[in-house]
Amino acid sequence: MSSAIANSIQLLMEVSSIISKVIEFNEKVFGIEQRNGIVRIKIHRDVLPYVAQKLATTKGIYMRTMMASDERDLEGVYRLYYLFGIDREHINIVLEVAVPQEDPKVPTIVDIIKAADWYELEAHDMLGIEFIDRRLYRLVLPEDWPEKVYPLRKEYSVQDLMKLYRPKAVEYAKEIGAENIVVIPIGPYHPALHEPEFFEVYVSGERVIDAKYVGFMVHRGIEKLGENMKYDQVPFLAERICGICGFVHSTSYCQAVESALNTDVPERAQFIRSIILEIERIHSHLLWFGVALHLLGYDTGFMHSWRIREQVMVLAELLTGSRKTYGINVVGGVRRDIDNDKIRKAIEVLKNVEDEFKKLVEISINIPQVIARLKGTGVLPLGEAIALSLVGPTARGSGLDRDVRRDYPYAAYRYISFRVPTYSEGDNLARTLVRVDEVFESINMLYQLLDKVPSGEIRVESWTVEPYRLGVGSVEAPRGEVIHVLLTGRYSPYRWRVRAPTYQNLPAVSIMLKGVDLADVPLTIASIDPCFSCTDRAIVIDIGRSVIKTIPIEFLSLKGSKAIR
Amino acid sequence: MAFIETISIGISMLLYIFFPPLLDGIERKIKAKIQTRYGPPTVFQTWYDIIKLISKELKIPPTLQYGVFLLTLAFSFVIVVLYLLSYIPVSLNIYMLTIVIILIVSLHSILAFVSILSSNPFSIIGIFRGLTIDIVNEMGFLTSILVYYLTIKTFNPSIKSFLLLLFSLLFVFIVSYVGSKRLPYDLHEAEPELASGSVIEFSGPILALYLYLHLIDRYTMVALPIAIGVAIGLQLSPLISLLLIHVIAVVIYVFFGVIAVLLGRSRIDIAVKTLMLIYLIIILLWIVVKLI
Repeated sequence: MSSAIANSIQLLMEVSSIISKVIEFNEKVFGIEQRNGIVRIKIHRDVLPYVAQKLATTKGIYMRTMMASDERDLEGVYRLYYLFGIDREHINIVLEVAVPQEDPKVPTIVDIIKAADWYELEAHDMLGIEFIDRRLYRLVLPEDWPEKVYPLRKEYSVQDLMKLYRPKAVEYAKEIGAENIVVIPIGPYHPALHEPEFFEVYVSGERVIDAKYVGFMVHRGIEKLGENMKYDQVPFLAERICGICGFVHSTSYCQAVESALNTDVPERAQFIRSIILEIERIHSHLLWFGVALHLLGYDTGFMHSWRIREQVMVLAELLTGSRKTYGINVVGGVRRDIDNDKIRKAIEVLKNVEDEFKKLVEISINIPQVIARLKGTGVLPLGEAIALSLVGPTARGSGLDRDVRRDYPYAAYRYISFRVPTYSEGDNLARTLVRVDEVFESINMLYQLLDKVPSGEIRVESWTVEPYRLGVGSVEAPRGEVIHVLLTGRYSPYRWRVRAPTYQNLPAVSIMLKGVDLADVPLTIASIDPCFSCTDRAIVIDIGRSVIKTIPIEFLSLKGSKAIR
Repeated sequence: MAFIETISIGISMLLYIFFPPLLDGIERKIKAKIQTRYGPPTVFQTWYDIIKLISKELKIPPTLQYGVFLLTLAFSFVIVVLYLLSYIPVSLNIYMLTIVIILIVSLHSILAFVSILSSNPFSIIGIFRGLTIDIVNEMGFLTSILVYYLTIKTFNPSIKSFLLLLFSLLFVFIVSYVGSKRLPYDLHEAEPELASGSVIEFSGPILALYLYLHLIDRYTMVALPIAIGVAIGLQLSPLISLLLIHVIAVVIYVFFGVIAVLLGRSRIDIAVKTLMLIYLIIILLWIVVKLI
């Protein structure tokens, strides 16, 4: 009890020290409010760079995400929410900046906080907010997107946007005289990760001099879709953001809503969420480990890693009913319970996975080519990791000790003890070892969680919506922290902002790539465990009728297989 | 030439022609077993692949027009090499051996040259990687065959001779392994980095021909030292010699396949340094023992 009081006092001191830094700006600070570990500070746009500077130069504070929202219906302004975190105190500081609709301009903070770069570009693309004193270019929207159409503005519905813009595939097909073509929008290619990504790598001999990333080829407009769905429908959409770690998104979304509405989630549900989250981390890291070994040419390790992973997938199916995309999260709890028989089976599987993975790691890491190509390649210094506000194993591999499970405890993590593996070397080997250690740590956490599952309800009976409340939900995904920031609406989220860890980590890849050998490029890119988009679709164009049909790529694949038979 | 010798050479040539894709099928099966996969449905899969590729339409990229001619030339060289290899147990001398070595090195150069014709950057990077390793390995190949030939020719039952034989065998088979372009030295293709590298522009019959030549080359690189050893060291009848050569070659080929499964892919700088160091050490050891 006494430690809780001491913590609260320390927290208050920390908050007041932050506020004292901000309060200097006096008449430009419109209000400060504190609730549920979130300190909301409303400031005038003119002082944003100065306040950001104050926060950025305070040790232990980093920019976690930024949400731009169209609130013209409410207060006649656009609003920017800059979310900063103080890990050691478990506090989020939200700087709220109102941007008048008649003059949507705001000073940039990129020169102060490098991590703000993509957020500002995205806000410019999606809401038309001008950031002063920086170069603005399209990041998210395609090149041929109509001018002055900002998809996240409330006047555009999803249907309007679909009428306003379709890829000009038919016109192009006619132009090239194709009668019947199949367009596979996998974009610029590379066989390494089997996802749409494009790195322009400039090499001298085989040495990389510079690298440029071009992304956002499959922007699915999920945030906009979520604004038209009921609160309990969104978790199913959120889970489809990622094909590997979707559960972190539904959990993060639910936590954001629960935090905004002050909903108490039953302890049993919190344990179930943590259990599934850790299972997801194990299978994701095993997948990554296999891919990394494949990129190093050690396919035997790749196959065995995925063989071991298969047991974890079967375990996930046992506990949730699905190998992936579990669909058990709802606001206020979970939809599916686990019983003692499942707990017993889960422990058996985990013991087996632990033994087999230990053997695999011992063998793989000692393969001469594997160790030679991991060690000292793709180095990311700690300073860069801090400047870019990196997260997850990418940050921890450079010595930046940051983990949401410990720093902003959620679900059942406050009830168990665990270690956060950190390595200071910053190379590909360090990032690999962080993930390897995390697999064993997750197994250890699962033993504790499965042992301590309390009895009781798994979801709250009902909850009521209070509109225009701000909620933050963050979860430590296998790739780093996922943050969902949400402004509640009456029936649906008014604004829902999703920030996946790859968004934060990708800018670091160019730094890692400089000076590496071409042979190590795929591995270095993979070392942040990037997750782009996993839901590509093929478009079949019927020129005669000017119709575009979207069909799953698997269908084409099956068709191809049948043709061969 | 005696009837039995002619028959032996004929059978041996047929085996040299038929075995490589079959052995590749066996290697793929073993590899799959080690990796807990099913692998290809049958050990004849590589043969089926080649036959299927041959049946595809012929697409020649503009820059590869002369490549077809070069591949055909390479195929002629291969036939001559196979004939000479089959002839070694019947009669072996240093001149014939020299011709075999020249033909094999020429074959490697022609295969490399085909890829250089491509303007694809992956192909160019891949083939230059291949050439870099080849420069080291071809020198190793010439030296190892010479050292091995001398060792067998001067072999007598003494510890010194056994040591020399051991070093020369080690040398010749390491060279043979590297020449087979298996992991960790498949840098010319390196799928995750170069998307098939030097063979990226080959398809259909051209890919089939390249693949077939590559597999025969792999097998001959294994069989050559065995043929020399059996011909000089054992002096059996030609038919038995030829069968023995193929049996040992098959065993070593499969053994190479197993080694490859257990290794990762090297990097060009590491690969060159490692090979030069290994070859230098073996040569020095051989010279030291020889001089003692």
